[in-house]
Order: sequence, then structure tokens, then C-alpha cells
Amino acid sequence: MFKYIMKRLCMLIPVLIGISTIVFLLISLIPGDVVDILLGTSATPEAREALRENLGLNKPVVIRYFEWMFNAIQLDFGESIRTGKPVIEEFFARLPATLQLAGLAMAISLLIGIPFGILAAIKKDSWISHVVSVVSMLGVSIPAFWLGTMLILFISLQLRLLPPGGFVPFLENPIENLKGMILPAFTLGTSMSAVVMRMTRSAMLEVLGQDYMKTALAKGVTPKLYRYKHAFKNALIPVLTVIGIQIGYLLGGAVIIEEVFALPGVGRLALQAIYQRDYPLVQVTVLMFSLGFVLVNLLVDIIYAYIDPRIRYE
Amino acid sequence: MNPVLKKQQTPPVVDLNAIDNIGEKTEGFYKVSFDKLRKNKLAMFGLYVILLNIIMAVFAPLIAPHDPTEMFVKNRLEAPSSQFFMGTDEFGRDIFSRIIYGAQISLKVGIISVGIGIFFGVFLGLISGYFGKLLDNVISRFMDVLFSFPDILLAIAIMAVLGSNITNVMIAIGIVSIPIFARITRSAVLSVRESQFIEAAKSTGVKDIVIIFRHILPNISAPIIVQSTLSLAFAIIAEASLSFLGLGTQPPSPSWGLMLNTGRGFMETSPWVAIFPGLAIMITVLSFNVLGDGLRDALDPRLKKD
Repeated sequence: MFKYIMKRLCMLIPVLIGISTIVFLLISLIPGDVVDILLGTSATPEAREALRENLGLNKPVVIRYFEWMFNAIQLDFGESIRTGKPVIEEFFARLPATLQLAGLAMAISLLIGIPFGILAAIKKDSWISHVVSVVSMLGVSIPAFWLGTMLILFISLQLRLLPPGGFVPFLENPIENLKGMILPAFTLGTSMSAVVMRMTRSAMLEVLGQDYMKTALAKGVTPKLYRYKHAFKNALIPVLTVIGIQIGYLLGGAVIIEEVFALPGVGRLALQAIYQRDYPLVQVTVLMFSLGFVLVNLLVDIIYAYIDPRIRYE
Repeated sequence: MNPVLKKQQTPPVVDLNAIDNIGEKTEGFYKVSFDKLRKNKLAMFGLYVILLNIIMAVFAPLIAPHDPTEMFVKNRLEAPSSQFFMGTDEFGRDIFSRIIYGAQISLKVGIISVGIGIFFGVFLGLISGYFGKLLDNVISRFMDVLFSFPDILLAIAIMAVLGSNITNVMIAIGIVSIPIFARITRSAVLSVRESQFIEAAKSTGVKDIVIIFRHILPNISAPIIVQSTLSLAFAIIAEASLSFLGLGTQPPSPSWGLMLNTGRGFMETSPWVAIFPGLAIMITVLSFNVLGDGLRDALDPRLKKD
């Protein structure tokens, strides 16, 4: 197992280098002069020179790249152009809201997706399986920002059941915090629930058709054990893969959901940074999101190997 | 029924008539697949809605009752009525007409960005799968890197760099769509590369480029077609998301995402401004998704139902 984890970690290195290179190049690829874009053409030559110095634009791109990488390894991504604070601090200040949102969304999607997926597979061709198919199709097709808007309209504005947005830190007031997070988490979790549901259903159907399942039935395992221990455990791997991939959608979706529900998370920070052309801040948010995504998928790979020893010895 | 008691499989019977027919024209793969698709009601529903969308986009000036940018200043934020089928927005523009014209934007962005994805993705997948070795390694690692950005986030970052306009939306979504096509094409190439007909072509001295485009590409088109349909759904939702965030198409363009964004501001008093564009996005995306699903069932022989 240790050897397998080390192998996976080594495979990560080129990907990490690639990601950071792309994130670094994002700024260099901006058409036109960044200084002009940021300060306008009417700025004084001194101010322009100062900003040029601050962004390191006076040096050749290769030198800048290595400097940036060297600093990035030490978690130094430069200062925000607008506030002057280190961008990594701004990132970590906004992280809790996003983590809570993504965590709750994932919990909701697993709680909806897995049981209904299993049910749809066991009761194949029944009404429940058809409902699950239709709902999961709708779930992946509904634009999250529209669903969020509609939930605010009907549940917050008309029925006045839950707040339409805003964020109260959990430690300050847990009940208000959760009340405020239900709608955003549900909205963000909808498409993931749909995907998990579909995957659970098809993986279960595939496993239920296997010969070893017939063997299990023939030797008289109880229906409950048959479904959950024999079938579900074997169906888990494709489901896990989808969950790993979906984390990426959760992070990307968080940008949109935080905007809809006015949550002070990293996604909204990234958007503000883009609107204000605060490029170091854009870089750090994109980099950290991708890093998070890659690490989650590493974790998924390790969990596979734990569940299925065949993978470890490949 | 107890799965153990399922009917015994009978050994395949050789159809002697079929052997006699060798050399005669038989029903093609796509004809058979289309017949299968036709039996799938949900997929056909998707196909019809997509056709309707195309008609809406092409004949927008004939179908739309009003000009999409015409402002009826006296009728601002008016509820749906016989004159304004879906109501009007904050400038007094007819929402129904804007939704019809909006289909042009969705389809254009969808087709061009997926076109970019197919063009580069399939090409990269073909050469990395066919030539293998170092080339394959380099391309595959690069695709891994692109894959490790959450896709909508990558599109947002590209938009931040390029600036917000519709051309850049297509470029951004196109770039985001490349890796999935590359990966699918590559694995499909790997599955046919060792076939005898490829070996035969090679041994008779056919050039690599001809083998790739004439012998391999037609044999792996099914997964690419399926993915194109699903990618179109993604492209439409991505365009709407970018425009919703103010990073995509710019006003006064009747983009569905943009309409929804401005509609949010009047939600309590005039919900129709936000409801209808969202419905349009959802129905269109749903159609591409169910069609893609149906195509997968119809084109993928492994999933053949008995």
C-alpha cells in the first residue's frame, strides 16, 4: 500500500508542474500591456514603473517563471493589486465558507444519490426506477444558477422559509449558519446527486448481472447481505470515480452558487478578482482550486486501492 | 424473477442465408443504429426539441413577434399577456422574442466551441493513440493537466485573460472541451490499432496519415458522436453560466444566461424575467443530454439490449 501511494505521489509531480505553469502563463498571455489595463493610459510614468516593478514585468518571462515557482513553493503568491495584502491570506480567509458549502453539497448528493441509485437498480423496470432516471436527467440539465434563483424566489421570497443568502460563520451562530447554507448546498449538490444516482444505478445493475452474484444467491445469502455486502461493495468503485470527478464540478460550481447566494467564499473572491483584474488573486484561487481537485482525486485513487486490492498490485 | 433461473443461453445459430448474402449490400451500421434510436422515445423527444431549436435560431426573424432589442418603454416589466407572450423585461423588451433569438447564440456557441474541441481533441487523440511512445506520453500528460482544472473554472480563468465577448466564450469553452475528446479518441484508437484490417493496410504500404484518417477515424466515430452531443449540452450550460456571471456575451445580446442575470434583480416583482430564460436553457440542455444518452445506447454494441 505504501509503495502504491508513493507511486501515485510521484505521478502527481508533472501534473502539478503543468498546472502551475498554466496558471503562471495566464497573466503573461493577457493581450496588450497589463499596466495599461490596470492603471489606464492616463497614469503617471512613476506609478506605471512602480506597478511594473511590483509585478516583476521588467524581467524576462523565464526568470519571472522560476521566481514565481520558487515563491509559490513557499506559498508566496504575491500581493493583491487592490488591497496590497498577500493573496494567500485573502484566500485562506475565504476558504471556510467554500469548504462548508462544498462539504454539505457533497453530503446531500451522496445521501440522495446512493440510496435512490441502489433502489432503482434493485427495483429495475418499476416506476421508481423510471422516476430516478427522469429526475437524474433533469438534475444534470438544470442550470445551477437558475435552480438557485428559483429556490430563492419560491422558498425565500414567497414562503419566507429560509434566508435568500448571506453567511453567518458557524461558530458564531450554528443554527443561522445552517439555515443559510441549506439552499446553496442543495443547489450545488443537485447535479452531483443526479450523477451519483445514475452511476450507482448502472454500476449496481452491472454487478447484479455477474456470475458471482448468482453464486451468492445460490449458496443462500440473505437478500440484505446480497444487496449491500456483495453487490454494493463491488459497485462502489465506479461510483467513487464519479465522486472524485464531481468534486471538480463542486469547486467550479461554487463560484456560481456563491455569487447567486452572496456567500463570502473563495469562488466569489475569484470572481471579484477577475472583475477587478487583480491577477495575482486570480492566479492563487485558480491554482488552489485545481490543487484541491487533484489531491481529492489522489485520495480517491488511494481509497480504490484500499477497497480493491487488485489495483494495488497492478 | 430470480436471476439464477434466467433463461439458458442458446448457442449462436449460424444463419446460412446471411452467408449467401456476403458481398451484397446490407443495412449499414448507422441505419441500424438510427432504427434503434427511433425506438427510444426520450431520445427522439430530445432530437425534436433540438430540431425546434435549430428552426427557432434559423428563422428567428420570421417567428419572433418583436425585434429582440426593441424597447416598449411604456410596457416595462409587464406580466405575460397576449401581446407579450412571456412578458417584458426592465427595458420593455419582449422576452419571448429574445428567447427565440437567444437560441442563435446558444447554438452558435455550442457548435463552434464543440467544433474546436473535436478538431483539436480528436486530432491529438488520433496521433497519440496511433503513434504511441513519447508523443503519446507528452500529449496525455498535457491533457491530464487540462483535466485537473475544474472545467467551468478553467473557462472562467480563460475569459479573465481574453476578455469578455462571444468569440472568447467560444474559444474558452472550446479549449475546455479538448481533453475529453482527446482521451476518448485515444482509447478508441488503442482498441482498433491492433486490428487485422489495420495490419493489412500497413503491410500493403499505406501511409500512416491515410490509415489514421481513412481506416481508423471512421471506425471510432461512434464514441466521438456521442461525446459531441453531451459536450454540446455542456457548452450551452457553460455559455449561460459565463454570461450569467457577466464574463460571457455582453448586453444587449439576448443570451439566455445574461437575461437570467438581469432578471434576478426584479425577481420579487417580475419573476417571469428570470423564469423563462432558465426554462429555455434547461429544456435545450436536457434535450442534448437525452439524445446523447440515446445515441450511446444505439451506437454502442456492448450495451445492446436483448
